[in-house]
Amino acid sequence: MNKVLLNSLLLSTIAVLAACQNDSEDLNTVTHIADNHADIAYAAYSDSKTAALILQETVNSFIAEPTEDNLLAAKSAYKAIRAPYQQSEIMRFDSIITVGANLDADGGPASVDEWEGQVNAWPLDENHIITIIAGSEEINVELLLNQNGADDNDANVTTGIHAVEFMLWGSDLNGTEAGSGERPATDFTIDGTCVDSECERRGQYLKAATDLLVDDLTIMADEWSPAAKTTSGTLAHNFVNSEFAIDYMVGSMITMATDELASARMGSGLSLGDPEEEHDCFSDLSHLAIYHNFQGVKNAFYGTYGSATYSISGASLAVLVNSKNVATYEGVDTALISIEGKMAQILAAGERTENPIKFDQIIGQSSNGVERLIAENAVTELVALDTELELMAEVLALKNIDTEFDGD
Amino acid sequence: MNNTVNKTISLIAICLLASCGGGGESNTTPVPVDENTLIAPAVPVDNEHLSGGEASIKKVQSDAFSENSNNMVSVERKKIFNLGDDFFNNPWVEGSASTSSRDGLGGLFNNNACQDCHIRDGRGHAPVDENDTDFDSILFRTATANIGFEDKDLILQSLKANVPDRYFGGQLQQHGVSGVSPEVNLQVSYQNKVVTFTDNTSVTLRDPSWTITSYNPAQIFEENTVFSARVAPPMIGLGLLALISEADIIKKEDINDNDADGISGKANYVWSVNSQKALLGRFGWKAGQPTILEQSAGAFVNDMGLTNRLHKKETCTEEQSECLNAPNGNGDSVNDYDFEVSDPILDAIAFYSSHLAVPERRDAYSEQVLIGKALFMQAGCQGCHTESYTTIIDQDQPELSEQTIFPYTDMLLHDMGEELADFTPDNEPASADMLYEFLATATEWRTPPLWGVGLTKTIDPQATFLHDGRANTIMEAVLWHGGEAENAKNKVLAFNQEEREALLAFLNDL
Repeated sequence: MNKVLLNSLLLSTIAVLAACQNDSEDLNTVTHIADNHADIAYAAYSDSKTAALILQETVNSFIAEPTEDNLLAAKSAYKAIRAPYQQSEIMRFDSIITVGANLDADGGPASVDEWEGQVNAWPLDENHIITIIAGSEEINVELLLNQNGADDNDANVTTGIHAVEFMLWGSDLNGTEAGSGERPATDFTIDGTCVDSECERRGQYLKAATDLLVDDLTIMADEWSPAAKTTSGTLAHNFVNSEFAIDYMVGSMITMATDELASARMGSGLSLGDPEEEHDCFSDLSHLAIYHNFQGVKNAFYGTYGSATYSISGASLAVLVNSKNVATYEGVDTALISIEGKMAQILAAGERTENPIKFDQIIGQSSNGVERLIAENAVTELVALDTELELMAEVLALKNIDTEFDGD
Repeated sequence: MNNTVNKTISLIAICLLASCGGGGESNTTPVPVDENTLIAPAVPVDNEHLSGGEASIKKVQSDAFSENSNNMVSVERKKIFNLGDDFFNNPWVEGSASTSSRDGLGGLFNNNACQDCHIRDGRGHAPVDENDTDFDSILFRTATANIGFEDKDLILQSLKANVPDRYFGGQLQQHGVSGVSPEVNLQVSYQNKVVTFTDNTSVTLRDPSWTITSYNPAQIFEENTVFSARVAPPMIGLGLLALISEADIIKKEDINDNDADGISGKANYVWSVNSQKALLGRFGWKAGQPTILEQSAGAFVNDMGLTNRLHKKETCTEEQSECLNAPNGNGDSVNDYDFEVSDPILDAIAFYSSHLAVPERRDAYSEQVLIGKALFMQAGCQGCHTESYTTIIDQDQPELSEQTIFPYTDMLLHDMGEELADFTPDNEPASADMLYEFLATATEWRTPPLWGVGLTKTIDPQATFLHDGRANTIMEAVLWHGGEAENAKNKVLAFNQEEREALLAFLNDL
């Protein structure tokens, strides 16, 4: 290498070091923000795991005694997982900090993104599950794992939250009309009155899918535990030590707001008028799912998380941005407050006891339907949030960090 | 004009050409030959770090190929991009599933989501070795050699692409939905091929040998079937390539190499299903598709078995009864259409594919990178990898209009030599005369754009280079260049270590 080049490299290295020193206060804050975000991840996964353990108990009771009451109890336990799990999903878009990091070398997951396919994959072709139950192979966790993604088809989902959802509710045949899947408890009857001789196998399937869900959530909670933060090879350790930690957080907020909520989880259904585009299509709990996905976006910004078990409020992007540029902070804050108002209305419409309006009914509403207008405005604001978040990224001087492009 | 004057003019023209010797651009000043001195850095071009003009985005991580055009402001347009993103990412479901907007996969398919081949909107890869069954981001086409005059005439008129294998059809699908057997079993093994630079440094290339066998032993390939391997290419900047003016592309054509620089360059003209006439081919490894919409519609039906308004029939051949009888995704939707991909989805996918932004260059003006650029020009790489264009105006694509872009492609077909040619079942190169895909012969490939190439491994560490993914690194890809690129490659072989590093610094910065 010639001298000029060498000199310029040395100079740029010195410049980078100097910049780091000047920004050491920020870096300190950044470290705390990432640390707090990892705590939030742990809380959300831990709450999900706890809820899944309760689901496991109710499922076991239901299979042993398949009454409508026990089915209702299992459905209610299922519903309780959605709030923490959907908030945890903000962690999923981690390819920018995990690709090439070999985090699976220790036998753990390579990334949240890779792990997630077994836990919350959508779309799910229920025909694949129906075929397995109608078959003769022993139903256990191993079979579900073998059959997941069978025929090299990612939609042949046999595991995870939506598989459990299908087992508890069954297909929703109501289109855009009121009503979710209406699977009767007698689908699991073991008193010899089963209509199609598959009741026992349905029970085995529900149990295997639930057991695996508990195992998977346990693995992920462990990956984010306080101990994991200081253990090399875990997702938490990789995240808190990544120089792209904040890029990842902001990028995840953008992805969840635009690619997921404004698009796949809300916008696609509204644009196409197809009720099957709601992701919780068997249970009609999409209103709950999307509301908590949005809480995940807010958690990442405000550095907060709240549940019966956890109450976290720590170093946050909000405070950091506010310290650098008040207008940018206010832009994001105002947008989040406005979107929250609309998402809360969608949640309330889905949860109210009299004449609830579920998300598949919103999809079916005419263009001036009350809830449809709210949902469409929420989508528009979620897309526009992208601009505010990009401004925030600029204020935080993200995306300028260039680490690995010195020659080849 | 008398003969003498005519000859004089010709001689002047030759002298002028010769004075541009070394293939250097006018703004590149070659340095006097001195073995210890590198060539002078290329003179920077205004805003050349903005490879995709104002649509470029500033990203350096594994999501760098997944952003929309940076200058897109309209929320409504972003919504269409996001809808496309959803259907590009998420898997398609077998026919008659309750997810009516996204069912109809297969009978036969290569993969069930765009994103699973175009990994993070980037490049696919070839399998690592003979034990690796990952053929998920590479596929194989078929065409038969020794066709009749009538067919040849139709191909030369751009009315048909080729004559595919009668039983298997034009593309081999290694997957079927439940109840449908796949068409083929696939395997690759590699032999080492050592290439040595003038300074005795050597690089080991891997030369693929493909084993393509029929899944159903009762059906075999036609005797004259020739295969073409195609790895999924990166998705960035396609909408900008669509807006390079046809005149700018055609003016670089030199089919008979009249300028005797060893580089010909030929435009492909291909049948447009949408326009029902022949159009300039721009997309695909052999420029076999005229527009992004048609490329998308073709990928839907061929790669995933998803019918759409441009391709209403599945690709099953007449003898493939399992495929023909597979459930489809028609007629079960709340919307009124009798194929599997509805128009809003097809159009959103085309819009999405048009607006995946090209990342800005990271270090375009550093000395080493500019020296590398000068070496790239000195070797004559820009003879095909044309540096820059200004896009035309398209009222429907304001973000992509009138942009100064730096794609490094001439969008033309070039003979890349026997080693990279389409191949027979015995892995012998097909004849250079064989028309494989419209006007593109078995040895011809469209110059791929180089923008973003330096981020390839950042997007996916498994990604590999060239049409069949045989090259693990950019330098390996350079060293596989043959045919019209033989001279340029030989110049690279004469580069010393420092020069090679500079060349790679430039390519990695793209």
